[in-house]
Amino acid sequence: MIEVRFHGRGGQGAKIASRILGRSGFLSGLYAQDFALFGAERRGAPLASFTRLGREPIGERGYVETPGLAVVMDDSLLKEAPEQVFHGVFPHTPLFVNADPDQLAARTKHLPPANYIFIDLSAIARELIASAFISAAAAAVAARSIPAIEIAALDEAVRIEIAEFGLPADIIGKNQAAARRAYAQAPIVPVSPASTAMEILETAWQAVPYLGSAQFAGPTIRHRGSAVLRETGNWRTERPEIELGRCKRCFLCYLYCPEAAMTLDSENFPHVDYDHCKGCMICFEECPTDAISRRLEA
Amino acid sequence: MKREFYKSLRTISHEEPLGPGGPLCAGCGGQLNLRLFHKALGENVIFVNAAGCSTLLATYPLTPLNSSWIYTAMACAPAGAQGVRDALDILKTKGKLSADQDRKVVVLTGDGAAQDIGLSSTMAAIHRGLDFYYLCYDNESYGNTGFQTSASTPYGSHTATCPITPSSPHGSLHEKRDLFEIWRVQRPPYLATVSAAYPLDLSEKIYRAAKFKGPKLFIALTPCPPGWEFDPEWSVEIARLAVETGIWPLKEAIHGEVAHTHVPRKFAPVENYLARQGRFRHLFEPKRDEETIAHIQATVNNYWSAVRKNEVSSDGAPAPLQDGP
Amino acid sequence: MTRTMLTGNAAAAWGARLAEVDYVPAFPITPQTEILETLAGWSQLGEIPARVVMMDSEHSMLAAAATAAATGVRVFTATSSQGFLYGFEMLYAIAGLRLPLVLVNVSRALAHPITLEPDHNDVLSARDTGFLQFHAETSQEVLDSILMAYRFAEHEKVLLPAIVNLDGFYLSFTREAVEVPTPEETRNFLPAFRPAYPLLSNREPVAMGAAVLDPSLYSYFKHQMHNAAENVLTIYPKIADEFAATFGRRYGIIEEFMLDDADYVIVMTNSFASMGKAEIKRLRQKGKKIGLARLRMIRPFPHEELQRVLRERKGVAVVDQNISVGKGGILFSEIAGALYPLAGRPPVLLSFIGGLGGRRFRPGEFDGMLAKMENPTESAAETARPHLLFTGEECRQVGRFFTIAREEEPSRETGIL
Repeated sequence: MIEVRFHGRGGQGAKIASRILGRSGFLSGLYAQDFALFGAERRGAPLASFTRLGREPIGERGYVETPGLAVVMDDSLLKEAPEQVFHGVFPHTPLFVNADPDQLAARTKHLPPANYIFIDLSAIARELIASAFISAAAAAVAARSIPAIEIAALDEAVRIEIAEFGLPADIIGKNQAAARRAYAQAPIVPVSPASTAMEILETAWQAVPYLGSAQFAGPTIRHRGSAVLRETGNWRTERPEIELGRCKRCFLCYLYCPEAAMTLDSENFPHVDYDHCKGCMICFEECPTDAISRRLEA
Repeated sequence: MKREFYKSLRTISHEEPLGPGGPLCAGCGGQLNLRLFHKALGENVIFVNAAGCSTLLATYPLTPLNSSWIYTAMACAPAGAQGVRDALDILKTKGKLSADQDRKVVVLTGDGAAQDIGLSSTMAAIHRGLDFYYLCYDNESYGNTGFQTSASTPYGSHTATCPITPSSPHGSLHEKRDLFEIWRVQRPPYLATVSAAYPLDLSEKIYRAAKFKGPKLFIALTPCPPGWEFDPEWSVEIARLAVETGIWPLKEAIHGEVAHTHVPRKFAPVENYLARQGRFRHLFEPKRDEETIAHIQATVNNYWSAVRKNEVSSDGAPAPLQDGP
Repeated sequence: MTRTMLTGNAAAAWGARLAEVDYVPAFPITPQTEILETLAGWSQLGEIPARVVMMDSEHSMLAAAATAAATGVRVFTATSSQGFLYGFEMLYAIAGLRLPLVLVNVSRALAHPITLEPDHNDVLSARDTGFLQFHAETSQEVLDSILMAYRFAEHEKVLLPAIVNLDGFYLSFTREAVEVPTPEETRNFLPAFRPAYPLLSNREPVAMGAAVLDPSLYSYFKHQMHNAAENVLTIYPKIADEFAATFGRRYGIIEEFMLDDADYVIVMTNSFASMGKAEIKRLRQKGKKIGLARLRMIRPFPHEELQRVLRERKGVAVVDQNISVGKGGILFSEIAGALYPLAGRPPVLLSFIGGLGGRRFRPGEFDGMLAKMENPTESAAETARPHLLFTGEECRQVGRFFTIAREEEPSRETGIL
């Protein structure tokens, strides 16, 4: 059995990518299982989806702890959600990243060791679909390294999974073209099968005694405003920037921020709290003096 | 509406009882409504919550609130509010809680809980004259579960349980049920609709409500980026367009007597609001659904015609409705 | 102490009154109504400081009970059958929030068919919720169990809500003698409520009932609840001793009736055990070595006590006044689980279902149960299944009902004999 993990942000199509790959395997006569994790996290938040394929019935469910191959659909996650992306990733793990191949050396210098492959999936999608939708391309790069999946099965899988959305036939065709392009561009890499990827560690059962402390009896949070520890700034794909010279201190950006991620200094000038700003851009829209600009995150 | 306290944006508090780091969607209209509401109310609050998007605000061990909170179930937040209020009063009577430690009890629910499963417990709490606030963030759906139809879903909207198909091309054919009128039947001391795009109107209404003992009820139009299908940056603009097109009247009812607090000088056509949202896309693509758009416009026109006939504005002058929609 | 005559319901009201409860959210349902009417009357007259609030449904009633307890007052409420189930999700909520309060259930069989008669399907459905559960046979025991229940529930090693069950009609509306303690005596046993940890009335803000999305963390909280429930078994002897010292009445986890030299044991709960004990006495007079074990505590489940009381017996028959449709008696299964690992477990363990919808035992049924224990003839597969108690005379009675309902004459063709 092989296990593939896709990393993306809510709304980017990581779930569809896992389904296209799962459907490809299914159509190729393999046992297939695919699913996405739904936490409480919302659009923009980092999340993962999974595909398992095998010649035997799949004997596992749930989170893929040690992927045989992983695809990072949003390259900002390398820095913004490393605990998710690199969980169970070893130096030999093929890690496909949606990014400019020329940047591979520079960008992976300080990252954990892995078998990095940078492919600009977004460029393929822009060219062939005229959109940012990269699910088909992401599934394709994974399929390339699974010999049991023929290109025809991948093609059909794209059609079936995208057709579920009721999109017109030409959009489906464009997605198929994007899949074929990504398939052709992707190198074939060695994918570790699941069984050899992990040692069986002993489970030490720990009897949990009654702690006797009423304080921890139930799920009661006694730390006011503790959510400040959740750095939702890593949800952003673009950031607002305030040019204070143009700011008339009208307070609108401060009032209209749903996150309370706009603070006021002692002179009532606004400053963005980049640890928490989710990049919704309401402030950009509402600023009456165009003092706020929007910039893609690097 | 002549505002007594919130005359300029400067009067809005700079305290942040609802802090950053919550896990709700970027651009969440509900969170913005709650933030402004909480600023006007102050920190001395116990929220009693029913299941919905807001339930995820407190996810162990993180809470963005500098106030207290208890999640109950889905149907019973007003009943939960009864228990909190009564217990606080009992503790005060027993001398175990000083007056300065008293709290405002606030029910926080979405429209699903308010309109459907929780309507019974809400009407009962209002009937008992419970001294509480109710903030209903109305995103016109069951949002947390993925945007299914609720009694608040407006005519012509698609939802996950009312998808657009050849046999059902118009979206929902049920009118949005008027929760304001349902609550108003019991003549609560204070009842109002609000929109975050009008923060002074919103804040002033809370200020006014605070003068009353008993039920103080708010329905906040809540643009929802993933559900209504628009980019998050338009969240406030859409909350504004709802009012400017006349779809979302800003009004209050004191002991059941209605007064509109902000009336657009000139109403924009409802299309301006509908065309910005993917949940109404089928009214414009692949071709215009004139019938449904006209129906929606007519409903709005009829509402404001009736208002013109029945109402004076809240400062005593005749309602300024020269230019109707 | 005053000795007087009280119905089970009145005794429950007295239990709440003596416990000096602060808050009683209420909603009426037969056969519980008298409890709330009594408390409401006392509150109106100023005889008790408790605030009694009529709510709009049992679900709302239990929600108000939960949040009032979460704010920091002593809460009491009562319900039955349909109402118990209507508010069911709140039972899990109250226990999961670790809120001590006492809920009296007046047992009534569940619709459909709809009835007012008692059985135990309603209260036993709560066995998984995290509520402690005590079953009372007499009015005295109802009053006493409520006082003890507050001690268990509010104990810092427990912090779980508790149910006290009494049978509808056979106890709720039946008067018998009760010693009613004085408020002073009661305060010696049950002092005023002091919350074990900061609640909503606390100065510092708290968020209660936060979502717990991490699987290990959820498991941890449930494990803690389970450990807390089991702690009741550890603290039970001390609290029972205190109760006996204060009021002169001693309650074991299991009431042991004529068990000393019993070869055969009938296991029962609640008020029908009174009839059971009478039958045991009659069989004893015929020379049979038989006794009755009345289970008072359902949660936590007293594995050790049951093993102690039932070991080395020749046969045990569990009489369930409940049925898990498709399986059999609920308590039978739980007792079988407790006995399975026991070296001296009784070789014969039988399940009998009686009392559904208030069905009384017929003459000779206890003789029949004993005969089956003495001479078990069935296969293992058969023995695992319950015996559903029903007589020929009852069949004929059912036939007569059908005749009227169908406006037909009884005959073999119509299947009505």
